[in-house]
Amino acid sequence: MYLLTALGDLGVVSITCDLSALPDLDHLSPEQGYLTWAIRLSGHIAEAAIREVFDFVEDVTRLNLRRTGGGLAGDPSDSPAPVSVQPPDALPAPAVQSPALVADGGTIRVELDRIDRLMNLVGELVIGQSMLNQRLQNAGIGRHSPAQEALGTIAALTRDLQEAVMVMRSQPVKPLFQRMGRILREAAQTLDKPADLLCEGEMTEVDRSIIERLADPLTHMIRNAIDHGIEDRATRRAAGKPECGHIRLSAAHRSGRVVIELADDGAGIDRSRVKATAIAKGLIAPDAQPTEAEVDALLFHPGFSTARNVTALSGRGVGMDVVRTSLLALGGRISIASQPGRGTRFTLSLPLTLAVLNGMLVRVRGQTLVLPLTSVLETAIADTAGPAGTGARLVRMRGRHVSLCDLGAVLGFSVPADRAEAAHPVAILVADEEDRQIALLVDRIIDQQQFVIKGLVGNCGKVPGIAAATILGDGQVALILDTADLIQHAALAPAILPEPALA
Amino acid sequence: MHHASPPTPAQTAADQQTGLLTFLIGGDEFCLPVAQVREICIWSAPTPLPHADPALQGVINLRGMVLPVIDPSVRLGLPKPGPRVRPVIIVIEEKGRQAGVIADRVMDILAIPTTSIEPPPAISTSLRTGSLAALALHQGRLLRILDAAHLLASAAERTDA
Repeated sequence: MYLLTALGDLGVVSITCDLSALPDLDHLSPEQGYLTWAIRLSGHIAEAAIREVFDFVEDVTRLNLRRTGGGLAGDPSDSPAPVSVQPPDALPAPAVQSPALVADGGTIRVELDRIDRLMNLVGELVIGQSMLNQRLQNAGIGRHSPAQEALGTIAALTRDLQEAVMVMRSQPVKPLFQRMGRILREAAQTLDKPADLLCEGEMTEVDRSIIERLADPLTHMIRNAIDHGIEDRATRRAAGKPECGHIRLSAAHRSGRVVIELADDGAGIDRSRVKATAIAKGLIAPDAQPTEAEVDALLFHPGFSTARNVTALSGRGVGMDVVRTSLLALGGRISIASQPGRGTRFTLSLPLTLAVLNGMLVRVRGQTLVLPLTSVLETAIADTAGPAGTGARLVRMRGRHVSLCDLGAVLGFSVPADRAEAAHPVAILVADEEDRQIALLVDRIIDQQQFVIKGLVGNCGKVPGIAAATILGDGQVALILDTADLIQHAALAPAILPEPALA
Repeated sequence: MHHASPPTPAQTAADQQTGLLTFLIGGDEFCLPVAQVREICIWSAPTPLPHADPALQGVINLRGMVLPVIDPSVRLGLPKPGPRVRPVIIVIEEKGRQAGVIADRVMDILAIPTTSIEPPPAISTSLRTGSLAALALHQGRLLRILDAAHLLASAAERTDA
């Protein structure tokens, strides 16, 4: 097999394997070679170079070299030199397998349930393996013992297995993008605004469940881009742009996430109109001076729409906030960049899978909890001597005062804090989708890692402040915090508490 | 960790026997129909859920599934048990929902004639109403059969509230 690869280095190779001499498996002698390889090499290659490749199998191989295509001698790249190799005594085992390997890998349809089951089992394997690791350490078996080394091998295999299963769940975004192309053509026709769609990175692979849930938001955004983004023909001509609008849809992997961009070359966001509408709808104060980013963010406000005419396609006022909500439900983020007259670009950032979450492992009053990393902004040694007196404790983080929420107390953990563990409490600044922030007081940050998400609702009902659960390396269940819910509770808390008697 | 197996092959036979798993909670003996018992697993400390019903001790990891664990002594209105010595968790299933029930010790699996199972008394004194499904007399002993649906349903309902 190495020989064939080496020939590939010499020029363009096409190889056919002649199996005609291959007997039944019963009569197959492992000492005997049966295969004849017909290798066609294209390129200007010296016979000596080819003979060199076969040099060390010369004694076990019959090598017939023939030069063909003499009529094309003027063009050396077109003169193939077929090489016929018959190894009378080559290694038969790989030779028997090779036809299967050479055959183009087909596809089979597998039910999603089966893959999910496989995924669960792999998750179990990871847990079981780390349990074993812990037991070995408890038993005093050293890090460099053979047992630990064997476990290390298993750990590496398990990681590979986990990745392989993840890949099985992944699909390219191509079918989704193709659907978007249809939606764009429909919308363009209805509104009589010619536009074409340019897709990039169609082969980018994303977890199937994410692709499924991405269809609706993307449909809405494509329609929006045609309806609000691309100007009508006359306006485009006047602006010196081609009549046909361009919309670019691209997907790419970036730092463990999928980034999908939707850019149009339309008019861009009319910020003065957005602002006027927001003031008219009472979303911002009339004298407010919002920054460009703040104005853009208003588009995601529930019930906001700048469309003058409600069309069949978009502008019913349920637009971008629904898009954003459904993206957030997937653990995604959305941002806008817009230049007046040049166009608007939406950037969606999504996790690769819904089955795994990047989280921060923290200890609170003897309990281990997981904070989703997407909501964590900053961590700091808690300055517990912050300004008090208004009832709620405040800390200053990132240049603003945020209320400090004692996670243990809020969750009602009665177990007293371990003194050693709680000696240096840490404040973690978290934010929800509306950028409301609170600081959570925890005893200690343990680690940052990936967690397999396990559902909790249905088994135990909805638990306030808790989104889901996961299983740690030691087999214990850890709860995954729902930061948005915690912030919501913190926002309600002052209303419940009696107002401090202040003049 | 071993699976509860049907007590006798005669369970579905003409003389109609019911398999009951008997176990101790505190010092008291209770039982559950084996048909509702999925397995019995060794103790692992549950992770407490915030603001949960006092009977809901928390959740454990049962081969990758997050399983709620119920302390039946709270549900049954029995005195708070002292520190347990090697308790077990009986995994029960009712209408597709599963939960673990903490027991101090699993005693036996009995096969008793279905005819000797009677409905619980209308007036319950020490046990909270609804927690008993039936009573059975077996070799002079009175067996109290717990209502799995009650143990499970109330756990979910109370955490919903």
